[in-house]
Amino acid sequence: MAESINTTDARQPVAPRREGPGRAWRRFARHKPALVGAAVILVYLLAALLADFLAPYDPLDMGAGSRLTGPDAAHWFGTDEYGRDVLSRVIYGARIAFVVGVLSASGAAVVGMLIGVLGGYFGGLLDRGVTMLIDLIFAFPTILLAIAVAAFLTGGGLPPAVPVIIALCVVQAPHFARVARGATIAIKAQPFVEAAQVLGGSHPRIIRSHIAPNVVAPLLVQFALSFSYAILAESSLSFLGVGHPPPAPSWGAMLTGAYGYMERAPWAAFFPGMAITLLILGFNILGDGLRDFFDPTRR
Amino acid sequence: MSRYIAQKLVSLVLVQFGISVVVFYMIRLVPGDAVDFIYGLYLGSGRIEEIRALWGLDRPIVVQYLEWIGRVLQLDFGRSIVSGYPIADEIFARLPVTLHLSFMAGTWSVIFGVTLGVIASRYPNGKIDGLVTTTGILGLAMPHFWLATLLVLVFAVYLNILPSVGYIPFFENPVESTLSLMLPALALGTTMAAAVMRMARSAMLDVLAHDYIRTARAKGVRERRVYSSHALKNAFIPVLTLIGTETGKLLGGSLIIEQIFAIPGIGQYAVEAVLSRDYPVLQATMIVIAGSYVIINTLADLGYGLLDPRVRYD
Repeated sequence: MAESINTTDARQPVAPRREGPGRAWRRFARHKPALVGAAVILVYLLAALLADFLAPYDPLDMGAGSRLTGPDAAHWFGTDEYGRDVLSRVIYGARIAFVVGVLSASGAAVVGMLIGVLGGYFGGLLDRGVTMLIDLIFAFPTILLAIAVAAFLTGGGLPPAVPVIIALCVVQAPHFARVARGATIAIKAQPFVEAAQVLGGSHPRIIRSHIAPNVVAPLLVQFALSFSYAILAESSLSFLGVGHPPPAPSWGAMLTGAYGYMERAPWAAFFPGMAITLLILGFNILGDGLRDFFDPTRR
Repeated sequence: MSRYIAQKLVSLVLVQFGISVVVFYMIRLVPGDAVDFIYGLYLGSGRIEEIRALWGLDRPIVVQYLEWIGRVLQLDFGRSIVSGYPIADEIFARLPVTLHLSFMAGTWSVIFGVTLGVIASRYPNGKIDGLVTTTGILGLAMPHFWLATLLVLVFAVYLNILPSVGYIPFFENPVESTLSLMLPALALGTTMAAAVMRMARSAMLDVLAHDYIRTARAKGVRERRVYSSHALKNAFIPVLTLIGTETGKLLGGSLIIEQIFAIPGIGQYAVEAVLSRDYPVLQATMIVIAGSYVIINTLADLGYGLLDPRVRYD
C-alpha cells in the first residue's frame, strides 16, 4: 500500500514513489558530486577489504625501511619513527575506519530508529520520554560525551575498538531517533496508515509494513552523515589517546605519533590526515546527493 | 515574549538537572567499580572497603546523588584524585582561557563566514561562488587536529612567525596573547566558518528569490540597499541560530585544540582527566562544559525569538 502513496507536501519526509532501479540510478547519477563521493568511498572500501594484497609492507613491521625516510619509490608515503611504511599503515587504517564506522553507525541506526519510531507512533508519555532522552544527549558536546563514555568503558577487558564503538553509538543514536520520530509522525498522519488501523492491523504489523519502510529513506542520509562523523570522531579519540592504542594503524593515532617529529618528517603527519579528510569529504558529498535524491521537491 | 523566555529558562533548568544525573551515573559505567579500578592494584580488600566508605559509595545511590549535587551547587567539586588540589579553583582559573580561545575562534569564523557567504550569493554558480563552496566543503571535512598540524608546520616551523604552543593571558600582554592564540583559533574556527559560510550563502539565495526583493528592485531601490536593508536582515535569522549551535560546538573542539597547543583551558583539563582516569575532575569538567554549552544554546534560542516574532507564538 505504501507504494501507491504520493505526496506533494514538500515538508513531509515520505519515501519516493517506487521506480525501477534503472530510472532511480539515472536520477541519482545526475548528481555528479554524489557519484564522485560514492567512488571515493568505494576506493577506500576496496583498500580496507584488500589491505592484505594492496599494502606493500606489514603495517606493524619496524624493519620495512630505515627510520623517517621521505617519500620515494620504495615508500610512497615515507616511513615513520619506527621505520614502518606509512602507506601500508594508511591502507590498514581504512580497515579500522570502516569497522568503527559501519558498526557504530549501524548500531546507532537500529537503536535510534527503534526509539524514534516507537515514540513517534505511540506518542504520549513514551514520546515525552524519548524526546527528553534525545534532548539530554544533545545537551553535551558530542566529542566530550564520546570521550567520556569511551574513557569510562575502557579498562574492563573489552577489545580496544568496543568502547569507541559504543561511545559513538550513544552520541549518534539520538540523531537517528529524531529523524525517525519526525518521519513516523508525518507518515502516521497519512490516510493509508489510518486505513490499515481501521482494517484491524495490529500495531507491530503497521509499524513493520507501513511505517518502517517509509522511515528508511531519510535515515539513509543520516547514515552517511553518521558514518563520516564516526570516522572523524574515532580519529579524534585515537589522537587524544582514548581510541585504538598503539601500535594499531588508526589514522588518528598515527597523527599523534607524527606530531612529535613533524619538523623532520612532515609526511608521516600529512598522509594520515589526508586520508581522513578525503574519506569524510566523500561521505559528506554523498550525503548531500542522497538528500537531494530523496527530496520529492527536487524532481 | 516573557512567556517564551520563561519556557526557555524552565527547560534550561530541567536540562541542567538531566546533565547532572547523566554525569553522576556515568562513573558507574566503569567496569567493576571506580575504587577497585583506581586502588585495586595497590591496596588490599580491607582498605578498599575503607575508601569506599570514605567516598560514601556504600550508601544508597539517591543519597549519594543528593549529597554530591548539593556540593556541586555550592561550586564544590571535590579534589582531584591525581593532584589532590580543589577542582573548583582549577576550573575558575581555566574557564576564562577557554572562553578567550572560543571567542577568538568564533569571531573570525563569523566575520569570514558571513562575508564570504554573502559574496558567494551575489553571483551564484560563478567562479567566486565555486571557490567559496569548495572551500566550505573542504573546511567541513578537515579534522581539527590535522588542520592544526598543518598550520603549525607552515606558520611555526617553516615560516617561524607564530608560536606553536603556550598561552599568554590577555591582560598580561594583549598583543602577545592574541598572537599566541592565532593558530589555535584558526584551527578551531575553521569548521564553524565553513558551516556559517554555507548557511549564509543558502539563506541569502533563499531570501533573494522572494517577491519582496523583486518588488524592491522593480521600484528602483539600489542594489546595495536591497542587500543591506532587505536581504541581509532576513537572511541573518537562520545564520544566527547556526552561530549559536556552532559556538557551543567550539567548546567540544577546544578539547582537542587545547591539548595540541598546550593551552591551559578547561578542555585540556578534561582530556588530562580522561587520560589519568581522574574521575572527579572528569565529572566536574563535564558538568561545566555541558552546562555552558546548554546556556549558549539557550541564549541563541532567545536571540532567535527576539529577531523572529513568529518563533515566540508557536
